[in-house]
Amino acid sequence: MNRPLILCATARLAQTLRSAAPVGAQVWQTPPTLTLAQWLAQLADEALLGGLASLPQALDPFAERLLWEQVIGAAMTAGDSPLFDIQGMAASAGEAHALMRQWNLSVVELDCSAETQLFLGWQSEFLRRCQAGQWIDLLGQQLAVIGLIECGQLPIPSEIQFAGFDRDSPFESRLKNALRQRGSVVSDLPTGLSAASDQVQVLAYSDLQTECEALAEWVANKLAADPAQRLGVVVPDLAGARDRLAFALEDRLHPALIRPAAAEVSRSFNLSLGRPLADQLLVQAALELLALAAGSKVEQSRLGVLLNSPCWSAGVSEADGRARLDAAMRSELNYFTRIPSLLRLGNRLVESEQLGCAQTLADLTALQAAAEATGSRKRALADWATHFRAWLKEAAWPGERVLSSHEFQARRAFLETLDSLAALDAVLGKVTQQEAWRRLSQLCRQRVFQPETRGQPSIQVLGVLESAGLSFDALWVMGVSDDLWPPAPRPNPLLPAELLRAEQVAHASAEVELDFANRVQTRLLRSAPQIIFSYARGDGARLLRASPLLAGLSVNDGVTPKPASLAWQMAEAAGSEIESVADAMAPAVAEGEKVSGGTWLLRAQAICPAWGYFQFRLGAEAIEEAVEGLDPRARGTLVHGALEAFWRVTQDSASLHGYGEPALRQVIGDAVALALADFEQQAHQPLPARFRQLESKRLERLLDLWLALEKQREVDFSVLACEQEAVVEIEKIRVRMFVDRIDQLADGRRVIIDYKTGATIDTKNWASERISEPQLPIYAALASREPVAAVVFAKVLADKPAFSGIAEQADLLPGVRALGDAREKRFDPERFPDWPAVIEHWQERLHAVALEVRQGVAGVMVADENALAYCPVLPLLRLAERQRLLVGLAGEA
Amino acid sequence: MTSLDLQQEDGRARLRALELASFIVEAPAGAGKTELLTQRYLRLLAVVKNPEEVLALTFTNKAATEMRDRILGSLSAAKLPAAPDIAPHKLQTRALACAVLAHDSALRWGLLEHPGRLRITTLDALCASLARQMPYLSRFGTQPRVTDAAASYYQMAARRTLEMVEDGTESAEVVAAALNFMDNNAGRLERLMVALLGRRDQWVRHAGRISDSSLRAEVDAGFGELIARDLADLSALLPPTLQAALMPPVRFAAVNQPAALAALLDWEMPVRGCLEDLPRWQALAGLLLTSTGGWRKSYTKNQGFPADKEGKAFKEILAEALAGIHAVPDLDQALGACLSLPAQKLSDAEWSTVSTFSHLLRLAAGQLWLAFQEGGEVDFIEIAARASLALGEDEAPTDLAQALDYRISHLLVDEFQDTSPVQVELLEQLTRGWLPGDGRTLFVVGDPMQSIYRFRKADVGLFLRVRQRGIGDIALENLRLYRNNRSYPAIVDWVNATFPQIFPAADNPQRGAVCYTPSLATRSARDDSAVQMHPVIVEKMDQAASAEAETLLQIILQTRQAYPDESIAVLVRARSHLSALVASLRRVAPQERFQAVEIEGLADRQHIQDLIILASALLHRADRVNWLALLRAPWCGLQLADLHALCADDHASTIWQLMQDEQRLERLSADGRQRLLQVRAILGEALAQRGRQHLRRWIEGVWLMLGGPRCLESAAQLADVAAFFALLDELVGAGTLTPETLHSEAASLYAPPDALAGSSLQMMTIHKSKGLEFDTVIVPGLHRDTGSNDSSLLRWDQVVLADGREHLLVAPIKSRTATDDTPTAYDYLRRLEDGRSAHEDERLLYVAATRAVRSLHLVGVALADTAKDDGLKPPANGTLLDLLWLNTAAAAFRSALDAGALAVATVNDFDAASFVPDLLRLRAPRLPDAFIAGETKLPVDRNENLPEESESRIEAAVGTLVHRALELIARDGLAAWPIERISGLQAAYQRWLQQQGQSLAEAANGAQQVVAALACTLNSAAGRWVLGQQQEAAAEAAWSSLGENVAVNHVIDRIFVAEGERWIVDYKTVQEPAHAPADFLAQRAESYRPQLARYASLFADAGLPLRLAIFYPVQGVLIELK
Ligand code: SF4
Repeated sequence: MNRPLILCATARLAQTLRSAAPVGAQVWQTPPTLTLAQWLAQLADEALLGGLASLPQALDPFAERLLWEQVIGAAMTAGDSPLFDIQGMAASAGEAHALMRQWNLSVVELDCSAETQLFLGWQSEFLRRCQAGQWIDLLGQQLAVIGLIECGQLPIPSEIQFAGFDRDSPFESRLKNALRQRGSVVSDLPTGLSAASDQVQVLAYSDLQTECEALAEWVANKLAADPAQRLGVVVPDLAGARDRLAFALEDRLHPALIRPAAAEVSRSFNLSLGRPLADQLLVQAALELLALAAGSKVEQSRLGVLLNSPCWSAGVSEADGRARLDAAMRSELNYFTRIPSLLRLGNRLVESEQLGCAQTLADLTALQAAAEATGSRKRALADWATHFRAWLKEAAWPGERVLSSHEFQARRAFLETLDSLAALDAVLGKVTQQEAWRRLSQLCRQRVFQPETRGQPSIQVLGVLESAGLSFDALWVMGVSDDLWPPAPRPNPLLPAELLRAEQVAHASAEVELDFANRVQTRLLRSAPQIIFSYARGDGARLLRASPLLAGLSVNDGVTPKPASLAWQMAEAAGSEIESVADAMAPAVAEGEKVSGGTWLLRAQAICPAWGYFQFRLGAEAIEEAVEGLDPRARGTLVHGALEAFWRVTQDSASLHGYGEPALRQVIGDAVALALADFEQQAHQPLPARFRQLESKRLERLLDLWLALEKQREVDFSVLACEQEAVVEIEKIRVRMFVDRIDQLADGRRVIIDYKTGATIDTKNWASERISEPQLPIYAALASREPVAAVVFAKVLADKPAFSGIAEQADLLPGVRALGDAREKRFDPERFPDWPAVIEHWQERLHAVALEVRQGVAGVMVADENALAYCPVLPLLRLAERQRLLVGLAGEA
Repeated sequence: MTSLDLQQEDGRARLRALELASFIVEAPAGAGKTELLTQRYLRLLAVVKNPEEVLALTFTNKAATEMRDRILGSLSAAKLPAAPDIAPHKLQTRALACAVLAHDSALRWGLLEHPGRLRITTLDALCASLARQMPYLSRFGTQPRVTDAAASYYQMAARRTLEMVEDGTESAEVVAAALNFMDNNAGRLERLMVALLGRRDQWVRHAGRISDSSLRAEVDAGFGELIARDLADLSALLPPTLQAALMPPVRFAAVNQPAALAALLDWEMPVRGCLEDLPRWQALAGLLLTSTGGWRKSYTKNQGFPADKEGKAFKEILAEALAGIHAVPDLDQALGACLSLPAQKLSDAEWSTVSTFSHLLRLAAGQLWLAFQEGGEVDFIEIAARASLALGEDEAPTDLAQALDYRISHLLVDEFQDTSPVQVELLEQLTRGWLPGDGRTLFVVGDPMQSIYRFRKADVGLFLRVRQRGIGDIALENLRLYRNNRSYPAIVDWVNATFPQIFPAADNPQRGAVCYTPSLATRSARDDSAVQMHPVIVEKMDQAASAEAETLLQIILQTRQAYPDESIAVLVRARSHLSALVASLRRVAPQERFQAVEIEGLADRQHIQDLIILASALLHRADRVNWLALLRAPWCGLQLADLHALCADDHASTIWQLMQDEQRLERLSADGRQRLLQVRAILGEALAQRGRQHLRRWIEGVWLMLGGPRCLESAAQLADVAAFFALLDELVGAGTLTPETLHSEAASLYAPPDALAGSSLQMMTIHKSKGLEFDTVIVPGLHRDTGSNDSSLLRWDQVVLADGREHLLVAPIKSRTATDDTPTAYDYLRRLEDGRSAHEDERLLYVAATRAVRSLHLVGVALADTAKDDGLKPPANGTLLDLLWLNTAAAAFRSALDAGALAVATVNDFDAASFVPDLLRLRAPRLPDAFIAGETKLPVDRNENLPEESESRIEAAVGTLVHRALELIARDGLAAWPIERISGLQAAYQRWLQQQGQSLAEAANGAQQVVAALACTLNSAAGRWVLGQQQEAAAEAAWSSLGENVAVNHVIDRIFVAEGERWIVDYKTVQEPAHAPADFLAQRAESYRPQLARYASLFADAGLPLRLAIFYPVQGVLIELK
């Protein structure tokens, strides 16, 4: 039996026609249905395999683009600034070339724009290279096949039907003519219904979200009435509305499928739009592994993402260990780092049994070794593909998690893509590893991945083009606003606009787009007995109007569906299900329970008891963010270190004054060197060389500045201790601390000094009920056995070095006021008549706060939220909720 | 001009503006500028060949769509018969629209069918379209995506630039020098670089010129000029007569205090306004002013007037002279300013810092380009810069007629007062080559008095300069509108009376100063229309917020009562000014609903913070804080004791690890354990499925399963939640979702306006209110200040010299460690900027005031101060109240104070500091029913991790090719395929294989195999028999069957009917291994049985007996499956 060959405009239509079962049939011979491009390729193949003609090889689209890219690259001279996206330029050039072929255009070189002239130059070079390589672009080959048909070659079916073509270009017309000449009966396969629908509505909604929800509601009602219906949803801007629409449909039709375990359960709708293969988690992991394997320096966040991926090595069983390794990396490694550094850190932590991710580290090591063994010389892509496969194996990609069906397909697609690299060898030749990787990732970004749907969804969500030739029981066309429908023209910039307009090339002008939209619209009107068009009146701040193509149809306001989402249903009961529980007391510190944190704990507790509890008793530490250079804390540590080193050598004011200029310089230099070395040892890694130099200069400058201030001290002193450890027990809470410096005056009294290198300093709290800077008071009031004459912060800052604190009497330190000084505003003379009163106050208040800790006081009680600016446990404090409750209470009061 | 003159002038201008010539139009608030633009647009449409030739540029997308809407509206209306009562200016519009319709149908445009042909767009969009149309000249290649969240790129570029310090190149020296200058504070340097990258349109081109030797001279000349101008202004304030009176006593003083006054020792001639006299001016200023900048009241021997007789005498002469001098307004400030004038030339050190930073910035710009390239997107600055590049230099302009799809014949630009230098330059490029009278026109319209977008780089000076000199070679005729159709006369009159005193007396482009032009009210007067000042006087500033809120509330309540249908807007200068007001309003009058437009932070709401906690925890397992917070949040609500039992003794493991430890869970209370297990099950599911779902849905699903919506206060909060998830969508779409980005982005979002509040009461910033109008406008917070300018590595500025040439100015930031206090060029430029922003404040007040239709309320707070004569502390500099103080506000405050209107502090015995909130949580957390009911059909993981090893690629390709060839042979018949034809095709086969990506060697080898296999087949009896059959025969036949309500496709290699039996044959190209057992092929055939059985099932009902067989072409063997 001789059935007509059906040539379709889209693969989807071909698929639909192929799988349409004749009424009642269980088994049937599939009608011969191909897309036009498939058929022409098949003919070219036959010509070759039958020995009829030797057509040049059609470049696959990616290889063709590469060739354009090379041509364009070669045409640029050294002085030209590089193109931002040479691939995109190549794509435009390829498109222009294809347009010229399809629309049979000829461009006169004179009198055209600079861009067109450039393009014509590229084009002739492109064709030259094609000839040399015995290649041709796809349309070129198709035209050659048509040529063969025209001269009577190749067997041609006696009857051919074209389906779903909205408008013929000269290319299709020429083909049809040739076929007719060969005696084939050529016709258009009627698709859709015989008459335009007479049930057409136009609905307007306030915004896109409402439009999607109304559509979902419509679909749900339709299906409820008749589950066997085939519904179509056509969206001119499908890419733009895809997620919103899919979410709305899902929320309405399958609210429970949002749960993670249902991620791949098939839905009753199908979106005709895939996502780039490169977006698949599995593929992302593969590409990142390959990119980083060579150990180049990158932003460490990329390593973090890799560690977080389940798709390689022990991604599931060691997920916690990896997360902790990431946390450690952020605080310990430089902002720019490489895999070897990460491995060193990881191995160190694993060895000290702080971390469980040995398998991951082993696989990463193997990956790196494999990359190293491969070396950096140039290779053919086919060769690289083999190596890449091997590397991935070392990294145990795709991991230990059982692959889901989609992941399984993604892996297959990725490996196919990897294999297809080989096809580019002819164009590219040998390339570096980076280049090979770049091409692979480009391919993965371009390849659209759409997992196979199981079963036949009753709702098809389609773009305008894919809807060609299809028909439904009911159709909704959404997003038909005047900015999208008819679409804005997008003439190819490399061809003269006048020419494109004159030849009515697709997408070239408003007229053409209007004509196109009109045809599509006519076709859509015949694709279902019931049709709804809809649009949104606004998008953000933009006003939208109905598409002019809907003129003549009356526009109604669409009914905003009643909120019915799962969230809404649950929220309706909101409030009534909440209980309020007094929970501000944690368990008291048990006998033998260790409480860490020392002065930091008392500080946090004083500012807000909950802070103290969460951070120090529950160990709630925030994850750090890696910073470039040294963070303020590290800068501070270095200053502390340098000053410590300095005063260990220079033990008193007399020695300080005794130094001559060169000697002082020497001592400072030594101190700074020592501090830097110490710092590096603590950090287990050297500072970058240049940065180290700069830091050393900074520290020397700063010390110089600071010591000038120390020289101004009028009372002689000797330095008794630097970074002195002290342990006191307050209310059974062991507080361990390091006092930056203790000076001794001639009369034996002490001056307690704490270096500060940033942030503003608050000493006012020393007179308050809750001492939020307790370090110095603790030492002065509880640890020191000798009398204390002053407690001061030393602000070691480049712009305003100064002492700040309180002293028993005047002039002990420059700028430090004595108790009872008329200008002293912090310590009320009535409450603090003398020094012992201050000490007593401190003792009492420190004990009170420590007692809170011991008893487990952990409420969110805070006087000044600004004091929480750097609090790491903010999420636990629920301050917004507290504020809300406060407002409520104040309102009642 | 009288009001009649104004009216005539206005009418004349409106007519003139429709003519085919180039104009710059000044249209004050309420002048009906949009209608005028619409009319002109229509007018132009009627004369062009293609509608695309008329290009209108607006400031925002919103404005563009509104204007398009208006034009299309006019066109559609013109199709219908005219309404009888149509207003005259509408009549005009209608006539113009009718003309367009006629033109449209004559030229077959189909405008109404394709409104996209109207080119009404923003400047940003125009740049994007230029870049798209010139992909090569713009160096983009293709149009990249444009992002308006480019900060992360700036940061990346800054960090990568800093990292260059280690790369050992010349660039490393530059970065090192910069770091050294910044005290090796990489973080700070990074922040400053990021800020500058966001403003690089202001400096990239300049930065490239720094190494020009001529530039330094240019900069020096520029500073010299500016300083000279300041001195000239100063000398104008201090005329020779006043100076003459000062000379004798000052000379006397100079003798006594030569150190300070040496420059005035022989002061005989008046000090002139030029650079040489700067030292004398400074000496004079030092004498006459105190260190705080006020007039010196008492003179002693320190100033050179000893207390002796002679001294006394001169002091009296001095006092007389000073009387006149102190009376000169602004003289004290001008004198004070001359003390802080910098040296006229940048020092070598400064210049070297300038070149270091310029170089650093160029490096950073280079890194930024690379970062953009990686991300495949750019910012608007880049688009604009590239568009300009594509348009070509003045010397080598791009031929636009050829480059663009349509030529631009007419340009209309709205809101011209807010354009930036880059934008004006773009207009110059677009209009290059236009000749007077060639039919092309440029039309710019704006209101310099409403220029308030300095923070978006707008420079009102441009308007003034363009008005004077035109754009490029195009001279613009200046038209001015006066009519105000919006406000009632009481408002317009007040504005006309007040603002001339607030605005400067004359325009000054360099200083960003605009003088006031009056408006003319067209509405008829109305009794209840007024401007009211509401003085609020307090004793302590911390009472201000509540006292002000009370006043505000009264105004609102009274207005609502008296005019229930009218709109009210509360306008403030900065968002933060409103937050206290909003909070107290909520507290005091919860029943008053209002829309706060972009005022309240989304992330300040607990339910959003809970979502952030959830997302952060899901995205990072080691985030202990957020994991604990997750357990503390209402959906779980673990108590402190349970948290303690869970994790107090192990600070190292992740919380998730601890949650798996059953023994540990035993320690929890029964309630706590149950709550924890419930959450554990849900999170366990989520973590196991990580990465399989759209991230936003993943988080949303967990939130739903946890019962997140039940934890809200009301369903209305779902609007906030939707805004949060929209943000997630955006971040997921951009591929940048991390806890950190989520945090920072959420912090920059505003809560959506209250859906239940109508639009009758709105609160917004003055900037947001631009272009809007309200019946009643309330402007509170007049006494409040906004933050000051940030520091910048380099400051750039420009000055136009007398010769009309622009000179570049540049100055470097001062090093933090620098100790001396000499005035720097940097500070000078900063003051220049501060001056401009002070002028903008005047305009901001104007914009706020002119939003009002009927009633304007101004609310400000002043401190009572008994030490002052009038009992009030004057408002701070830089506040709007300060602007209003002298001419209106002071009097109002004083009389209020006299009337005893001192706000009493509201007694609040509520102790907020010691308030300890309870734990709020779900009474009984449970999995929502929807999930329990839907639990049935979840997929089970299949074990599909088997390594995907397949036959080698060449084997597969050979197999395919053999199939293909056999298909052709079967189709054409054996007669057409003699053996020789096959062997002649070996080259073709090789090519085919090469085309499939096989290497040359593999392909050659493969082709040989194919030829061998085909030859073997054709030589074998079995082969000839299989291929030669004709009855009901088909090769590669496609069949479909109905599976589980889906069609399944099958492709059968060979099928035919022989002797009443239907044969189904599948080809397998298999190479026999070397030591294969004898029945190798038969064994293999067995393994294909299921496949053939499937084919067989298709023909089960077709009647004929079935025979199934495998044919091996390589061996030429047919093996039947019995
Ligand atoms: S900024 Fe300019 S001069 Fe400096 S390294 Fe880059 S390209 Fe060279």
